[in-house]
Amino acid sequence: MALNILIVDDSAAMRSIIQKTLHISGLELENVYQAKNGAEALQMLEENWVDLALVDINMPVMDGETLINHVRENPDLADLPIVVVSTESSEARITQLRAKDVEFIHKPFAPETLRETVFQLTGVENGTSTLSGGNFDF
Amino acid sequence: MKVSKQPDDVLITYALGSCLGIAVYDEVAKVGGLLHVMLPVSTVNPAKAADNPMMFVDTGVPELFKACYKAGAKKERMVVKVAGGASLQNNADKDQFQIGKRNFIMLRKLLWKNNVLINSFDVGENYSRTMSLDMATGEVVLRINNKETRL
Amino acid sequence: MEQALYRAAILTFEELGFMFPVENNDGAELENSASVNVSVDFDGTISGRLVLQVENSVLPVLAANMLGVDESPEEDLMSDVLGEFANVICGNALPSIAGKQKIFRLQPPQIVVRFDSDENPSAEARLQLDEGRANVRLYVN
Repeated sequence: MALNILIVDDSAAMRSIIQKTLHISGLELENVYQAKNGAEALQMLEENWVDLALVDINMPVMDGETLINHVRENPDLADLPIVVVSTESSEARITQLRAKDVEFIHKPFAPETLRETVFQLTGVENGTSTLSGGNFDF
Repeated sequence: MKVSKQPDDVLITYALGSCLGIAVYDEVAKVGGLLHVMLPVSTVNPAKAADNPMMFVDTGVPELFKACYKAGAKKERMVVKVAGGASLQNNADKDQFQIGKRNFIMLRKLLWKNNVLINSFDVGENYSRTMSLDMATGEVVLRINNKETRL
Repeated sequence: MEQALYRAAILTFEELGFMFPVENNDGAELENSASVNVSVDFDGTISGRLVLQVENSVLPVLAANMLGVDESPEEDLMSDVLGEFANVICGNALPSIAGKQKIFRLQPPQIVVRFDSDENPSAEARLQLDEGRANVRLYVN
């Protein structure tokens, strides 16, 4: 089953790192959507089928926590698997977030950690690690 | 560096301290290789690097992959396992060059830039490791203080 | 506080930048003309600002490493890389300074053309990398 994944982060660099990790993880991907904040993400979630969302917390316009609250309150979206990918290291905040039924990845993260979490949440068999890469020499 | 496609081979590299052992294996082609690198970058000693590129992470790792491709492996099927990178000083603060750590950071950078993720690794700490790759199964076993564990 | 800042900065350079920083306590101030500054404001149990300054020679390598590409990216993306980098250092440093149970809110990072402050920072981490130098300053209100 090819996956549709949504990346929500205000940093273009971080969105690019996450997207690259997904592409080299050996996952079968249909679409990878990107949103710069919670409001953009909500709109995308209403217009597209998404299997998994990777969500930053500190973002302008609408932060990740507000986004997660909206998703969990919406009967059409409530079951969406969510991974919070954030610099947040406060134990109190992490406990609060986990109560909303989300997984948590702490920045800076190894791309391997992200892959493992995505495999677990989507129930995809862990395959091999690599994909042949465009212009690279090995 | 050793590369094989013989199912009855077991590739072994002994006594990895700050060095890194990198095992790659393609289960379909039954092709694999094991590389033992000592230092992160070849630019510190170009003469040595020309003589023995397998000593360095930045020159040895591409050679390992290329040799496996030549033997029939495909990049998208390769499983990568890493061990070593220890700091054998009794006190980590005294290990001022931190070669083990540098080796692993350099390897991770190189793999990230070349779209490769590591499947499993056991690095750091202060003990020496012996690493073997079973060519029939791709199983990687570490021997640490006479105890064997699967990586 | 200084140790917490060093730990957060070193971790971030190693994990996100694939670089190898060492403490450089005696390092000189960085020239504004030869470096880039980015600041992250935070509030919560303590409030203030973290400023990351890197030498111009560091930024293109850092950006290419983080993104996993061979060529350094265009300027907008490089600024974004630096901002995210400062954000990660800040998010990691604060709980180990103020306590793991404390909650902070980080503002989006801002590139600052020149950073002058009469104030002494509350803590400072000076780092030497193979590619140049980097300073992290923390100002607590």
